[in-house]
Amino acid sequence: MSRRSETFLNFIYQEEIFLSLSSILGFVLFWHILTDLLGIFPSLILPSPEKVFFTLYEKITVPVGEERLFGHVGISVVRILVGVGLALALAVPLGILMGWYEDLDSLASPLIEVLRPIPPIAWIPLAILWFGIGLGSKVFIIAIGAFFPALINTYIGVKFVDALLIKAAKTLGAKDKDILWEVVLPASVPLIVAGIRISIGVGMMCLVAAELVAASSGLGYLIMLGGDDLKPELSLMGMILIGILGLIADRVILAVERKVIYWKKE
Amino acid sequence: MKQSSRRLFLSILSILVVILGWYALTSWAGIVPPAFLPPPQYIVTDFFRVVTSPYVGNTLVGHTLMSLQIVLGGFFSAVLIGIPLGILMGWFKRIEAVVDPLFQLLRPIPPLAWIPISLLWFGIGLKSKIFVIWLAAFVPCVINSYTAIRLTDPLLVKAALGLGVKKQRDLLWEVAIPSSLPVILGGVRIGLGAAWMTLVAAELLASDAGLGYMMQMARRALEPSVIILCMLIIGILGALMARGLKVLERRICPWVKQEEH
Repeated sequence: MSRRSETFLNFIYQEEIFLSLSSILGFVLFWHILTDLLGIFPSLILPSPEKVFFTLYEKITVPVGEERLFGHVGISVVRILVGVGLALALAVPLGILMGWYEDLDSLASPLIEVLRPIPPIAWIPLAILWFGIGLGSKVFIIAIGAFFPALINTYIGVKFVDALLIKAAKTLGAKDKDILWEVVLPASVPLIVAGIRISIGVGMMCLVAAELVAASSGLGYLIMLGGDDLKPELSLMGMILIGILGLIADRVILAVERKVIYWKKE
Repeated sequence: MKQSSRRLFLSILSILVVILGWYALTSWAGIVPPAFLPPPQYIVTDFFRVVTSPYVGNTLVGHTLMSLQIVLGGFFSAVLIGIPLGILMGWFKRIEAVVDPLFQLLRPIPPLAWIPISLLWFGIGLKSKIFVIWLAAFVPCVINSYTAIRLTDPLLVKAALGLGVKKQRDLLWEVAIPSSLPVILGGVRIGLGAAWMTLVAAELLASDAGLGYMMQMARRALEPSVIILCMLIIGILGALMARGLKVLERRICPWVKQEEH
Protein backbone atom coordinates (compact mmCIF):
# COMPACT_ATOMS: atom_id res chain seq x y z
CA MET A 1 0.00 0.00 0.00
CA SER A 2 1.44 3.35 -0.95
CA ARG A 3 1.94 6.14 1.53
CA ARG A 4 -0.60 8.35 -0.15
CA SER A 5 -3.46 5.89 0.09
CA GLU A 6 -2.53 5.25 3.70
CA THR A 7 -2.98 8.88 4.67
CA PHE A 8 -6.19 8.91 2.72
CA LEU A 9 -7.43 5.93 4.77
CA ASN A 10 -6.46 7.74 7.95
CA PHE A 11 -8.50 10.70 6.86
CA ILE A 12 -11.59 8.60 6.17
CA TYR A 13 -11.12 6.83 9.43
CA GLN A 14 -11.02 10.06 11.36
CA GLU A 15 -14.04 11.46 9.63
CA GLU A 16 -15.89 8.28 10.47
CA ILE A 17 -14.89 8.64 14.11
CA PHE A 18 -16.04 12.23 14.08
CA LEU A 19 -19.42 11.34 12.56
CA SER A 20 -20.12 8.51 14.93
CA LEU A 21 -19.00 10.54 17.94
CA SER A 22 -21.34 13.39 17.05
CA SER A 23 -24.27 11.05 16.49
CA ILE A 24 -23.65 9.33 19.82
CA LEU A 25 -23.55 12.74 21.49
CA GLY A 26 -26.82 13.64 19.79
CA PHE A 27 -28.37 10.42 21.02
CA VAL A 28 -27.26 11.05 24.62
CA LEU A 29 -28.57 14.61 24.44
CA PHE A 30 -31.94 13.37 23.19
CA TRP A 31 -32.04 10.82 25.98
CA HIS A 32 -31.21 13.55 28.51
CA ILE A 33 -34.00 15.77 27.19
CA LEU A 34 -36.55 12.96 27.37
CA THR A 35 -35.67 12.00 30.94
CA ASP A 36 -34.18 14.77 33.01
CA LEU A 37 -35.25 17.90 31.19
CA LEU A 38 -38.83 17.09 30.22
CA GLY A 39 -39.38 14.16 32.56
CA ILE A 40 -41.41 12.22 29.99
CA PHE A 41 -39.95 8.98 31.35
CA PRO A 42 -39.70 8.61 35.13
CA SER A 43 -36.27 7.49 36.30
CA LEU A 44 -37.70 4.16 37.46
CA ILE A 45 -38.47 3.37 33.82
CA LEU A 46 -35.66 5.11 32.00
CA PRO A 47 -32.99 6.79 34.11
CA SER A 48 -31.16 9.76 32.65
CA PRO A 49 -27.79 9.22 30.94
CA GLU A 50 -25.95 11.12 33.64
CA LYS A 51 -27.46 8.83 36.24
CA VAL A 52 -26.18 5.82 34.31
CA PHE A 53 -22.78 7.45 34.00
CA PHE A 54 -22.73 8.32 37.69
CA THR A 55 -23.64 4.73 38.58
CA LEU A 56 -20.72 3.58 36.48
CA TYR A 57 -18.41 5.97 38.26
CA GLU A 58 -19.73 5.00 41.67
CA LYS A 59 -19.50 1.24 41.12
CA ILE A 60 -15.79 1.49 40.34
CA THR A 61 -15.20 2.02 44.04
CA VAL A 62 -18.41 0.78 45.69
CA PRO A 63 -18.77 -3.00 45.50
CA VAL A 64 -21.96 -4.66 44.20
CA GLY A 65 -22.34 -8.05 45.83
CA GLU A 66 -18.86 -9.36 46.39
CA GLU A 67 -17.03 -7.44 43.71
CA ARG A 68 -16.39 -3.93 42.47
CA LEU A 69 -17.16 -3.06 38.88
CA PHE A 70 -13.84 -4.17 37.44
CA GLY A 71 -14.08 -7.37 39.43
CA HIS A 72 -17.39 -8.17 37.68
CA VAL A 73 -15.95 -7.24 34.29
CA GLY A 74 -12.88 -9.37 34.98
CA ILE A 75 -14.98 -12.38 35.96
CA SER A 76 -17.04 -12.09 32.78
CA VAL A 77 -13.89 -11.80 30.68
CA VAL A 78 -12.33 -14.86 32.32
CA ARG A 79 -15.49 -16.89 31.73
CA ILE A 80 -15.66 -15.97 28.09
CA LEU A 81 -11.95 -16.57 27.48
CA VAL A 82 -12.00 -19.99 29.12
CA GLY A 83 -15.27 -21.00 27.43
CA VAL A 84 -14.36 -19.84 23.93
CA GLY A 85 -10.79 -21.11 24.33
CA LEU A 86 -12.03 -24.56 25.28
CA ALA A 87 -14.48 -24.58 22.37
CA LEU A 88 -11.81 -23.56 19.86
CA ALA A 89 -9.31 -26.09 21.20
CA LEU A 90 -11.84 -28.84 20.46
CA ALA A 91 -13.67 -27.47 17.43
CA VAL A 92 -10.80 -26.42 15.17
CA PRO A 93 -8.86 -29.73 15.28
CA LEU A 94 -12.09 -31.72 14.99
CA GLY A 95 -13.22 -29.60 12.06
CA ILE A 96 -9.88 -30.12 10.29
CA LEU A 97 -10.01 -33.87 10.85
CA MET A 98 -13.64 -34.08 9.72
CA GLY A 99 -12.89 -32.09 6.61
CA TRP A 100 -9.87 -34.23 5.79
CA TYR A 101 -11.00 -37.77 6.69
CA GLU A 102 -14.17 -38.84 4.93
CA ASP A 103 -14.98 -41.64 7.41
CA LEU A 104 -14.65 -39.44 10.46
CA ASP A 105 -16.97 -36.98 8.72
CA SER A 106 -19.57 -39.73 8.24
CA LEU A 107 -19.28 -40.73 11.89
CA ALA A 108 -19.41 -37.29 13.47
CA SER A 109 -21.77 -35.41 11.15
CA PRO A 110 -25.05 -37.05 12.22
CA LEU A 111 -24.32 -36.42 15.91
CA ILE A 112 -23.49 -32.80 15.18
CA GLU A 113 -26.63 -32.36 13.10
CA VAL A 114 -28.69 -33.64 16.04
CA LEU A 115 -27.07 -31.34 18.59
CA ARG A 116 -26.58 -28.20 16.51
CA PRO A 117 -30.21 -27.00 16.28
CA ILE A 118 -30.52 -26.91 20.08
CA PRO A 119 -29.83 -23.29 21.05
CA PRO A 120 -26.91 -23.15 23.53
CA ILE A 121 -29.15 -21.30 25.95
CA ALA A 122 -31.42 -24.32 26.19
CA TRP A 123 -28.47 -26.13 27.80
CA ILE A 124 -28.53 -23.80 30.81
CA PRO A 125 -30.86 -25.83 33.07
CA LEU A 126 -28.95 -29.04 32.42
CA ALA A 127 -25.62 -27.25 32.88
CA ILE A 128 -26.73 -25.92 36.25
CA LEU A 129 -27.86 -29.38 37.28
CA TRP A 130 -24.52 -30.86 36.20
CA PHE A 131 -22.03 -28.19 37.25
CA GLY A 132 -23.81 -26.01 39.80
CA ILE A 133 -23.87 -22.25 39.41
CA GLY A 134 -20.10 -21.68 39.52
CA LEU A 135 -17.58 -21.19 36.76
CA GLY A 136 -18.18 -24.69 35.39
CA SER A 137 -21.74 -24.21 34.14
CA LYS A 138 -20.95 -20.85 32.51
CA VAL A 139 -17.87 -22.18 30.76
CA PHE A 140 -19.86 -25.19 29.57
CA ILE A 141 -22.64 -23.07 28.04
CA ILE A 142 -20.24 -20.62 26.42
CA ALA A 143 -18.20 -23.52 25.05
CA ILE A 144 -21.31 -25.19 23.57
CA GLY A 145 -22.35 -21.94 21.91
CA ALA A 146 -18.88 -21.19 20.54
CA PHE A 147 -18.17 -24.78 19.47
CA PHE A 148 -20.51 -25.12 16.49
CA PRO A 149 -19.69 -22.00 14.43
CA ALA A 150 -15.95 -22.69 14.74
CA LEU A 151 -16.43 -26.36 13.89
CA ILE A 152 -18.67 -25.80 10.88
CA ASN A 153 -16.51 -23.06 9.41
CA THR A 154 -13.30 -25.05 9.85
CA TYR A 155 -14.94 -28.11 8.35
CA ILE A 156 -16.24 -26.23 5.32
CA GLY A 157 -12.93 -24.43 4.92
CA VAL A 158 -10.96 -27.69 4.83
CA LYS A 159 -13.47 -29.77 2.92
CA PHE A 160 -14.12 -27.31 0.10
CA VAL A 161 -10.61 -26.13 -0.57
CA ASP A 162 -10.10 -25.23 -4.22
CA ALA A 163 -9.52 -28.60 -5.94
CA LEU A 164 -7.16 -26.90 -8.35
CA LEU A 165 -4.75 -26.08 -5.54
CA ILE A 166 -4.67 -29.72 -4.45
CA LYS A 167 -4.16 -30.93 -8.00
CA ALA A 168 -1.34 -28.43 -8.50
CA ALA A 169 0.35 -29.59 -5.29
CA LYS A 170 0.00 -33.25 -6.35
CA THR A 171 1.50 -32.51 -9.74
CA LEU A 172 4.41 -30.86 -7.98
CA GLY A 173 4.92 -34.09 -6.03
CA ALA A 174 3.48 -33.24 -2.61
CA LYS A 175 2.53 -36.04 -0.23
CA ASP A 176 -0.87 -36.19 1.50
CA LYS A 177 0.52 -34.85 4.75
CA ASP A 178 2.23 -31.98 2.98
CA ILE A 179 -0.94 -31.15 1.10
CA LEU A 180 -2.86 -30.89 4.38
CA TRP A 181 -0.28 -28.71 6.10
CA GLU A 182 1.03 -26.65 3.23
CA VAL A 183 -2.01 -26.24 1.01
CA VAL A 184 -5.31 -27.04 2.68
CA LEU A 185 -4.76 -25.43 6.08
CA PRO A 186 -3.39 -22.12 4.83
CA ALA A 187 -6.17 -21.94 2.24
CA SER A 188 -8.86 -22.46 4.88
CA VAL A 189 -7.49 -19.97 7.41
CA PRO A 190 -9.83 -17.13 6.32
CA LEU A 191 -12.92 -19.27 6.93
CA ILE A 192 -11.53 -20.58 10.22
CA VAL A 193 -10.91 -17.05 11.47
CA ALA A 194 -14.39 -15.98 10.34
CA GLY A 195 -15.78 -18.91 12.34
CA ILE A 196 -13.82 -17.84 15.40
CA ARG A 197 -15.30 -14.38 15.08
CA ILE A 198 -18.83 -15.79 15.04
CA SER A 199 -17.90 -18.04 17.96
CA ILE A 200 -16.87 -15.09 20.08
CA GLY A 201 -20.15 -13.30 19.30
CA VAL A 202 -22.25 -16.33 20.23
CA GLY A 203 -20.06 -16.86 23.28
CA MET A 204 -20.82 -13.32 24.49
CA MET A 205 -24.51 -13.97 24.12
CA CYS A 206 -24.27 -17.23 26.06
CA LEU A 207 -22.24 -15.51 28.75
CA VAL A 208 -24.97 -12.92 29.27
CA ALA A 209 -27.69 -15.57 29.30
CA ALA A 210 -25.85 -17.78 31.77
CA GLU A 211 -25.12 -14.87 34.06
CA LEU A 212 -28.70 -13.64 33.88
CA VAL A 213 -30.15 -17.01 34.83
CA ALA A 214 -27.82 -18.01 37.63
CA ALA A 215 -24.81 -16.09 38.86
CA SER A 216 -23.68 -13.94 41.73
CA SER A 217 -21.05 -12.04 39.77
CA GLY A 218 -20.31 -10.81 36.27
CA LEU A 219 -21.90 -8.24 33.98
CA GLY A 220 -25.01 -10.34 33.33
CA TYR A 221 -25.56 -10.54 37.06
CA LEU A 222 -25.41 -6.74 37.32
CA ILE A 223 -27.96 -6.42 34.50
CA MET A 224 -30.29 -8.87 36.25
CA LEU A 225 -29.78 -7.24 39.64
CA GLY A 226 -30.72 -3.87 38.19
CA GLY A 227 -34.05 -5.33 37.08
CA ASP A 228 -34.69 -7.13 40.36
CA ASP A 229 -33.79 -4.15 42.57
CA LEU A 230 -35.68 -1.66 40.39
CA LYS A 231 -32.44 0.08 39.48
CA PRO A 232 -32.60 0.28 35.69
CA GLU A 233 -29.47 2.46 35.69
CA LEU A 234 -27.50 -0.58 36.84
CA SER A 235 -28.97 -2.69 34.02
CA LEU A 236 -28.25 -0.02 31.42
CA MET A 237 -24.70 0.33 32.70
CA GLY A 238 -24.18 -3.40 32.38
CA MET A 239 -25.70 -3.46 28.89
CA ILE A 240 -23.42 -0.66 27.74
CA LEU A 241 -20.38 -2.41 29.18
CA ILE A 242 -21.34 -5.70 27.51
CA GLY A 243 -21.72 -3.83 24.23
CA ILE A 244 -18.29 -2.23 24.62
CA LEU A 245 -16.76 -5.59 25.54
CA GLY A 246 -18.29 -7.14 22.43
CA LEU A 247 -16.95 -4.34 20.25
CA ILE A 248 -13.45 -4.68 21.69
CA ALA A 249 -13.49 -8.44 21.14
CA ASP A 250 -14.61 -7.97 17.56
CA ARG A 251 -11.95 -5.35 16.86
CA VAL A 252 -9.24 -7.58 18.30
CA ILE A 253 -10.23 -10.54 16.16
CA LEU A 254 -10.40 -8.32 13.08
CA ALA A 255 -6.88 -7.06 13.77
CA VAL A 256 -5.68 -10.63 14.22
CA GLU A 257 -7.42 -11.59 10.98
CA ARG A 258 -5.63 -8.85 9.09
CA LYS A 259 -2.28 -10.00 10.53
CA VAL A 260 -2.81 -13.68 9.83
CA ILE A 261 -4.35 -13.35 6.39
CA TYR A 262 -1.98 -10.70 5.17
CA TRP A 263 -2.36 -11.93 1.57
CA LYS A 264 -6.08 -11.24 1.43
CA LYS A 265 -6.86 -7.78 0.12
CA GLU A 266 -9.69 -5.80 1.65
CA MET B 1 -22.50 -45.00 -5.10
CA LYS B 2 -20.32 -47.20 -2.94
CA GLN B 3 -18.97 -44.17 -1.12
CA SER B 4 -22.44 -42.91 -0.24
CA SER B 5 -23.63 -46.25 1.12
CA ARG B 6 -20.50 -46.43 3.27
CA ARG B 7 -21.34 -42.98 4.52
CA LEU B 8 -24.90 -43.99 5.36
CA PHE B 9 -23.66 -47.08 7.17
CA LEU B 10 -21.18 -45.09 9.27
CA SER B 11 -23.81 -42.44 10.09
CA ILE B 12 -26.31 -44.97 11.36
CA LEU B 13 -23.55 -46.79 13.19
CA SER B 14 -22.44 -43.69 15.07
CA ILE B 15 -25.96 -42.76 16.20
CA LEU B 16 -26.58 -46.35 17.31
CA VAL B 17 -23.29 -46.52 19.21
CA VAL B 18 -24.00 -43.29 21.03
CA ILE B 19 -27.50 -44.33 22.07
CA LEU B 20 -26.30 -47.78 23.10
CA GLY B 21 -23.38 -46.29 25.00
CA TRP B 22 -25.74 -43.87 26.73
CA TYR B 23 -28.05 -46.75 27.64
CA ALA B 24 -25.15 -48.93 28.82
CA LEU B 25 -23.64 -46.23 31.04
CA THR B 26 -26.88 -45.16 32.66
CA SER B 27 -29.26 -48.08 32.75
CA TRP B 28 -27.29 -51.25 32.27
CA ALA B 29 -24.01 -50.64 34.11
CA GLY B 30 -25.46 -47.84 36.23
CA ILE B 31 -22.17 -45.91 36.31
CA VAL B 32 -23.90 -42.57 35.70
CA PRO B 33 -26.77 -41.91 38.16
CA PRO B 34 -30.12 -41.02 36.53
CA ALA B 35 -30.27 -37.74 38.47
CA PHE B 36 -27.21 -36.70 36.45
CA LEU B 37 -27.99 -38.23 33.08
CA PRO B 38 -31.20 -40.23 32.76
CA PRO B 39 -31.25 -43.28 30.50
CA PRO B 40 -32.69 -42.66 27.01
CA GLN B 41 -35.87 -44.63 27.64
CA TYR B 42 -36.83 -42.26 30.49
CA ILE B 43 -37.11 -39.47 27.95
CA VAL B 44 -39.54 -41.51 25.85
CA THR B 45 -41.73 -42.39 28.83
CA ASP B 46 -41.60 -38.77 30.03
CA PHE B 47 -42.72 -37.67 26.60
CA PHE B 48 -45.87 -39.79 26.81
CA ARG B 49 -46.44 -38.68 30.41
CA VAL B 50 -46.34 -34.93 29.71
CA VAL B 51 -48.18 -35.15 26.39
CA THR B 52 -51.29 -36.55 28.04
CA SER B 53 -51.22 -35.07 31.54
CA PRO B 54 -50.28 -31.50 32.49
CA TYR B 55 -46.79 -30.68 33.77
CA VAL B 56 -46.43 -27.41 35.70
CA GLY B 57 -49.82 -26.14 34.61
CA ASN B 58 -49.99 -27.24 31.01
CA THR B 59 -49.48 -30.25 28.82
CA LEU B 60 -46.43 -30.38 26.59
CA VAL B 61 -48.58 -29.32 23.66
CA GLY B 62 -49.90 -26.33 25.60
CA HIS B 63 -46.42 -25.16 26.58
CA THR B 64 -45.18 -25.61 23.02
CA LEU B 65 -48.07 -23.61 21.56
CA MET B 66 -47.43 -20.88 24.11
CA SER B 67 -43.78 -20.62 23.06
CA LEU B 68 -44.59 -20.71 19.36
CA GLN B 69 -47.21 -18.01 19.69
CA ILE B 70 -44.76 -15.62 21.34
CA VAL B 71 -41.89 -16.33 19.01
CA LEU B 72 -44.01 -16.00 15.87
CA GLY B 73 -45.66 -12.80 17.12
CA GLY B 74 -42.33 -11.12 17.84
CA PHE B 75 -40.71 -12.49 14.70
CA PHE B 76 -43.40 -11.45 12.22
CA SER B 77 -43.73 -7.96 13.63
CA ALA B 78 -39.94 -7.62 13.41
CA VAL B 79 -39.95 -8.72 9.77
CA LEU B 80 -42.83 -6.41 8.89
CA ILE B 81 -41.17 -3.36 10.42
CA GLY B 82 -37.51 -4.27 9.93
CA ILE B 83 -37.40 -4.97 6.20
CA PRO B 84 -39.14 -1.75 5.09
CA LEU B 85 -37.02 0.28 7.49
CA GLY B 86 -33.85 -1.37 6.22
CA ILE B 87 -34.84 -0.75 2.61
CA LEU B 88 -35.59 2.90 3.35
CA MET B 89 -32.26 3.25 5.15
CA GLY B 90 -30.43 1.74 2.21
CA TRP B 91 -32.22 3.87 -0.38
CA PHE B 92 -32.49 7.30 1.26
CA LYS B 93 -29.23 8.78 2.52
CA ARG B 94 -30.96 11.04 5.05
CA ILE B 95 -32.83 8.28 6.78
CA GLU B 96 -29.60 6.34 6.91
CA ALA B 97 -27.74 9.27 8.49
CA VAL B 98 -30.32 9.50 11.27
CA VAL B 99 -30.99 5.85 12.01
CA ASP B 100 -27.68 4.12 11.31
CA PRO B 101 -25.64 5.53 14.24
CA LEU B 102 -28.37 4.42 16.65
CA PHE B 103 -28.17 0.95 15.19
CA GLN B 104 -24.43 0.86 15.55
CA LEU B 105 -24.92 1.74 19.22
CA LEU B 106 -27.54 -0.91 19.89
CA ARG B 107 -26.10 -3.69 17.76
CA PRO B 108 -23.28 -4.89 20.04
CA ILE B 109 -25.68 -5.36 22.97
CA PRO B 110 -27.00 -8.93 22.82
CA PRO B 111 -30.83 -8.88 22.68
CA LEU B 112 -30.89 -11.13 25.74
CA ALA B 113 -29.37 -8.38 27.83
CA TRP B 114 -32.60 -6.43 27.32
CA ILE B 115 -34.67 -8.99 29.20
CA PRO B 116 -34.37 -7.53 32.74
CA ILE B 117 -35.12 -3.99 31.64
CA SER B 118 -37.96 -5.12 29.41
CA LEU B 119 -39.47 -6.94 32.40
CA LEU B 120 -39.29 -3.65 34.24
CA TRP B 121 -40.96 -1.83 31.35
CA PHE B 122 -43.64 -4.32 30.39
CA GLY B 123 -44.06 -6.72 33.32
CA ILE B 124 -43.78 -10.52 33.26
CA GLY B 125 -46.55 -11.11 30.72
CA LEU B 126 -46.52 -11.57 26.97
CA LYS B 127 -45.53 -8.01 26.16
CA SER B 128 -42.04 -8.07 27.63
CA LYS B 129 -41.19 -11.30 25.86
CA ILE B 130 -42.57 -10.15 22.54
CA PHE B 131 -40.55 -6.95 22.85
CA VAL B 132 -37.26 -8.76 23.43
CA ILE B 133 -37.94 -11.26 20.63
CA TRP B 134 -38.97 -8.47 18.33
CA LEU B 135 -35.67 -6.76 19.07
CA ALA B 136 -33.68 -9.94 18.48
CA ALA B 137 -35.25 -10.52 15.05
CA PHE B 138 -35.53 -6.85 14.10
CA VAL B 139 -31.82 -6.01 14.10
CA PRO B 140 -30.67 -8.66 11.57
CA CYS B 141 -33.69 -7.92 9.33
CA VAL B 142 -32.81 -4.22 9.20
CA ILE B 143 -29.08 -4.71 8.82
CA ASN B 144 -29.34 -7.23 6.01
CA SER B 145 -31.95 -5.29 4.04
CA TYR B 146 -30.00 -2.09 4.51
CA THR B 147 -26.68 -3.56 3.42
CA ALA B 148 -28.19 -5.41 0.47
CA ILE B 149 -29.90 -2.32 -0.91
CA ARG B 150 -26.83 -0.18 -0.43
CA LEU B 151 -24.60 -2.69 -2.16
CA THR B 152 -26.89 -3.10 -5.16
CA ASP B 153 -24.65 -3.95 -8.10
CA PRO B 154 -24.01 -0.60 -9.88
CA LEU B 155 -23.87 -2.51 -13.16
CA LEU B 156 -27.52 -3.48 -12.73
CA VAL B 157 -28.46 0.12 -12.02
CA LYS B 158 -26.51 1.32 -15.06
CA ALA B 159 -28.12 -1.31 -17.23
CA ALA B 160 -31.59 -0.29 -16.05
CA LEU B 161 -30.81 3.38 -16.68
CA GLY B 162 -29.47 2.47 -20.10
CA LEU B 163 -32.64 0.57 -20.86
CA GLY B 164 -34.63 3.71 -20.17
CA VAL B 165 -35.79 3.42 -16.56
CA LYS B 166 -36.48 7.01 -15.56
CA LYS B 167 -38.12 7.01 -12.16
CA GLN B 168 -36.24 6.42 -8.92
CA ARG B 169 -39.21 4.39 -7.74
CA ASP B 170 -38.95 1.95 -10.60
CA LEU B 171 -35.25 1.61 -9.95
CA LEU B 172 -35.97 0.70 -6.33
CA TRP B 173 -38.84 -1.69 -7.02
CA GLU B 174 -37.60 -3.32 -10.19
CA VAL B 175 -33.84 -3.42 -9.64
CA ALA B 176 -32.66 -2.81 -6.09
CA ILE B 177 -35.25 -4.81 -4.15
CA PRO B 178 -35.31 -7.93 -6.35
CA SER B 179 -31.52 -8.11 -6.48
CA SER B 180 -31.32 -7.74 -2.69
CA LEU B 181 -33.92 -10.38 -1.89
CA PRO B 182 -31.52 -13.25 -1.17
CA VAL B 183 -29.56 -11.20 1.37
CA ILE B 184 -32.78 -9.84 2.92
CA LEU B 185 -34.10 -13.36 3.34
CA GLY B 186 -30.77 -14.34 4.87
CA GLY B 187 -31.40 -11.67 7.48
CA VAL B 188 -34.86 -13.05 8.11
CA ARG B 189 -33.34 -16.46 8.73
CA ILE B 190 -30.76 -15.10 11.15
CA GLY B 191 -33.57 -13.20 12.86
CA LEU B 192 -35.64 -16.33 13.32
CA GLY B 193 -32.73 -18.16 14.92
CA ALA B 194 -32.05 -15.22 17.24
CA ALA B 195 -35.73 -14.96 18.13
CA TRP B 196 -35.96 -18.62 19.06
CA MET B 197 -32.84 -18.42 21.22
CA THR B 198 -34.03 -15.27 22.95
CA LEU B 199 -37.43 -16.79 23.64
CA VAL B 200 -35.82 -19.68 25.47
CA ALA B 201 -33.77 -17.26 27.56
CA ALA B 202 -36.80 -15.10 28.36
CA GLU B 203 -38.82 -18.12 29.40
CA LEU B 204 -36.00 -19.41 31.58
CA LEU B 205 -35.84 -16.07 33.37
CA ALA B 206 -39.41 -15.04 33.90
CA SER B 207 -42.43 -16.91 32.69
CA ASP B 208 -45.36 -18.99 33.81
CA ALA B 209 -45.67 -21.14 30.68
CA GLY B 210 -43.70 -22.28 27.68
CA LEU B 211 -40.90 -24.73 26.99
CA GLY B 212 -38.23 -22.65 28.73
CA TYR B 213 -40.38 -22.40 31.83
CA MET B 214 -41.00 -26.12 31.74
CA MET B 215 -37.24 -26.76 31.65
CA GLN B 216 -36.61 -24.42 34.53
CA MET B 217 -39.27 -26.14 36.63
CA ALA B 218 -37.87 -29.55 35.72
CA ARG B 219 -34.47 -28.37 36.90
CA ARG B 220 -35.93 -27.36 40.25
CA ALA B 221 -37.71 -30.71 40.51
CA LEU B 222 -34.44 -32.46 39.58
CA GLU B 223 -35.94 -34.17 36.54
CA PRO B 224 -33.21 -34.04 33.89
CA SER B 225 -35.21 -36.31 31.60
CA VAL B 226 -37.86 -33.59 31.19
CA ILE B 227 -35.12 -31.01 30.57
CA ILE B 228 -33.60 -33.14 27.82
CA LEU B 229 -37.04 -33.76 26.32
CA CYS B 230 -37.65 -30.00 26.16
CA MET B 231 -34.21 -29.42 24.64
CA LEU B 232 -34.97 -31.94 21.92
CA ILE B 233 -38.32 -30.33 21.16
CA ILE B 234 -36.75 -26.86 21.08
CA GLY B 235 -34.09 -28.18 18.70
CA ILE B 236 -36.59 -29.93 16.44
CA LEU B 237 -38.91 -26.92 16.25
CA GLY B 238 -36.00 -24.58 15.55
CA ALA B 239 -34.76 -26.85 12.77
CA LEU B 240 -38.26 -27.16 11.30
CA MET B 241 -38.77 -23.40 11.23
CA ALA B 242 -35.38 -22.89 9.60
CA ARG B 243 -36.23 -25.57 7.04
CA GLY B 244 -39.58 -23.89 6.34
CA LEU B 245 -37.86 -20.59 5.66
CA LYS B 246 -35.38 -22.33 3.34
CA VAL B 247 -38.27 -23.73 1.31
CA LEU B 248 -39.87 -20.30 1.18
CA GLU B 249 -36.57 -18.79 0.11
CA ARG B 250 -36.29 -21.23 -2.77
CA ARG B 251 -39.83 -20.27 -3.80
CA ILE B 252 -39.24 -16.53 -3.63
CA CYS B 253 -35.87 -16.43 -5.34
CA PRO B 254 -35.45 -19.60 -7.36
CA TRP B 255 -32.52 -18.13 -9.27
CA VAL B 256 -30.19 -18.33 -6.28
CA LYS B 257 -28.05 -21.41 -6.13
CA GLN B 258 -28.71 -23.02 -2.75
CA GLU B 259 -25.76 -24.04 -0.65
CA GLU B 260 -25.86 -27.33 1.12
CA HIS B 261 -24.64 -25.99 4.44
